[in-house]
Amino acid sequence: MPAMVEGRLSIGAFYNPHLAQALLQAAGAVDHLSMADPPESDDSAFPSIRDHFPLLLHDYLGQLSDPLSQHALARARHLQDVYRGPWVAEHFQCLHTQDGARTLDYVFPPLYTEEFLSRFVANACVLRDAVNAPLVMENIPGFFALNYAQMTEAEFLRRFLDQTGCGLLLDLPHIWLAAHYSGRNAREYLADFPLPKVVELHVAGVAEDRDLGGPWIAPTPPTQEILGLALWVAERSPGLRAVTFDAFAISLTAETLLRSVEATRAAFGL
Amino acid sequence: MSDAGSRKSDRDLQDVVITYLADATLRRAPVSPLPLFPEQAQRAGKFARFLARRYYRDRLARSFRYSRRFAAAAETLVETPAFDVFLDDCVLGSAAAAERVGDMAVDYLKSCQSPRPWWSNLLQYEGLFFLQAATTESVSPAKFPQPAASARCRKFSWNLPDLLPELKTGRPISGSLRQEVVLLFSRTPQGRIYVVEVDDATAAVFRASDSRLSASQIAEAISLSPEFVQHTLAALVQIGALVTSS
Repeated sequence: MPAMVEGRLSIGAFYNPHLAQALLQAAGAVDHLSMADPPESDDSAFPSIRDHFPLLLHDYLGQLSDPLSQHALARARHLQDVYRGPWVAEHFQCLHTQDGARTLDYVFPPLYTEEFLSRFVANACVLRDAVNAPLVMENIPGFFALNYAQMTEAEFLRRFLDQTGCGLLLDLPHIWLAAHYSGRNAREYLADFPLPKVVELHVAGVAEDRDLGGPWIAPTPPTQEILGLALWVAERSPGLRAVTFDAFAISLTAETLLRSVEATRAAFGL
Repeated sequence: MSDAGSRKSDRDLQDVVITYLADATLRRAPVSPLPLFPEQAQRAGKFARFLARRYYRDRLARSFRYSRRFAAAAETLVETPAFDVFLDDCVLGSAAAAERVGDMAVDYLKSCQSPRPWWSNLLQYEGLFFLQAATTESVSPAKFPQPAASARCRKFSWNLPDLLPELKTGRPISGSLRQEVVLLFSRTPQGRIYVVEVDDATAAVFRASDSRLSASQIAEAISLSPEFVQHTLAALVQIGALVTSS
């Protein structure tokens, strides 16, 4: 199983099983692959994918607002045993009710409060110990404001990372959207973020969504604004090791994926 | 910024927020369960519709995997005016909402030109698979076994377990696959979906499990041995088809 590149940034993408052959043919252009889902049992290309690319565990392992079940921890450990990536990712999100009866099934941040901070710290440490690998946590944007927050997103993340020693996976489209919907500039929004803790960046495009009446993440190439933001963050993140084009969708084409990785490489002068 | 007067834990408050976003009827209620300024409430409503459309689009694409070779992709349903109407009162993840969208999808695809003799069976299969994929609602366990919210047992006139691999590889469908099968569709609390072929006795145990009968009463009602019923109930609970507190 190949290791992540050393001495320079690794530029990768998400594994999209329907694009497996194109990814294998493009080995060399794509440094690593992030795994959002476990390989299907009938995915005949996966063994070759695992032989050709370093893999990063970026599945849904469980929401760290709540204790993870033994089943969830065992599953996380198994996936990390299969991928053996240099770190494992989870999200600052809370999208299921405690009784499991309701779920939003998509990115939704916790309330930024002392109680949630304690819960995330405790449960992240359990997950990290279970997978026996460094844990990086991804930021999640909000779309509307509630009156319950006791701190900003930046303070929540900074205190979490200080208390756990985890790394930050900074999703730049998420930052861009959070800034956009709070009427701020993305660099201004990032002013208090713990950028020295960034290990990985996500880049992607945005597109208008009719329900939101505004932009949202799309499986399209990263905009120049996002790539510019990536460079700006990279200059402030000495621990940055990887940049990943964050798109997995059946509608994603090989051409878009490879063009996006190429644009990201070019932006970083690679 | 804090809401110091609240007695609920922050985690409980988050559940209120999640439920508010998942349930369109709560968002329409005259008294909102969330103290949102009007502009933020409007944004929350937009986000909820976005989440719901995304949720069902994803499940339709994953569930109607075979019919898309012969008809429109089922997920294009979410772009129709009928789906906009559905979003106005949908409870995300509920069995009722999943059943409604599944029925809409089957109707949407029924009009496929030159339907094959197995077409309606295939759509019924995919609709029931979708019901599992799109239901997160759980029923409260009772003393005696009862069906999970999405569990269904249906008879098919074509042997779907053998027919689907043929569709996947593009081979012609032989008339010999016109065989009755009874399939049980279920989903575990962890989200694993099962479609299993069951015999008449197993189907009878499932159908008799209505939360009012104990294992021995089920055995008596359908004239099967208590040992067989006990063993079958345990297997059906394991695959998420039945729920019980005992």
